[in-house]
Amino acid sequence: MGADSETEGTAIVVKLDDLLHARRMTLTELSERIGLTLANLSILKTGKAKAIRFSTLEAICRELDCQPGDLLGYAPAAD
Amino acid sequence: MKTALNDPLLTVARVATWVVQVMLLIAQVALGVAIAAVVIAALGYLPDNATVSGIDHLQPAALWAAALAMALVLAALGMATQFVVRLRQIIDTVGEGDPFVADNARRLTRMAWLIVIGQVLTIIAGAIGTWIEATDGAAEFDLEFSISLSGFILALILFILARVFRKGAEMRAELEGTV
Repeated sequence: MGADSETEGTAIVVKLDDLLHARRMTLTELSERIGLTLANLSILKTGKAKAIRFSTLEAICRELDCQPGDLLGYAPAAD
Repeated sequence: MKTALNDPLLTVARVATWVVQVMLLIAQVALGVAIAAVVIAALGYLPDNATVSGIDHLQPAALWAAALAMALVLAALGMATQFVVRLRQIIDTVGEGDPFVADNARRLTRMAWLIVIGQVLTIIAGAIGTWIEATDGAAEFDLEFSISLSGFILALILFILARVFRKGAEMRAELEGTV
């Protein structure tokens, strides 16, 4: 555990909102398609998730027809 | 508590904690009455039929010591009650399906300390009993002066379990953020 646990993982950006917008899909619709609860999907969308399962990533990529790199981005904080 | 009702083990465990708690309460009340009687005797207010109860020949010092030993046992019983209450709280969290919480780790640590302190109290009470028997040959104080190995092993297990639960709570929190 090198980094502070408070800031750990915050440099990873989830671009789910943009993807959904581009595909004209609602969060509720996606949650139904991938079989994830809306609450959990909201956690992912708002960037509060600490980890993402490969199965979840796979399902999102399948339904949104994208690559993991389209969903996730790395934006190091400038300090 | 729907799940607890459908789970025989949890139901038995919960009923057992209630039974033990009631038994402890009865024992505490009985001991409280006994302490009051011994204190009254120690103060010199002995009823006429005191010879029957067999405490008339004891010196006030021995009676006070007996009252102290009994008070220590009463305190140990009170801690046993605390122990049982915490045990039931843990059982309840199991029934609710989320036992790996920091509260349970704290409860287990507390339970371990209760066992340790209870052991020490009964050892002191037993030592006082031995002292009374030594000073008064006719006295029979029914308290064993023994260090209970199983008690300390139980305390150790509880301390370890507390750590296990703390770790479990950490892992639970991590899982919470996983989607």
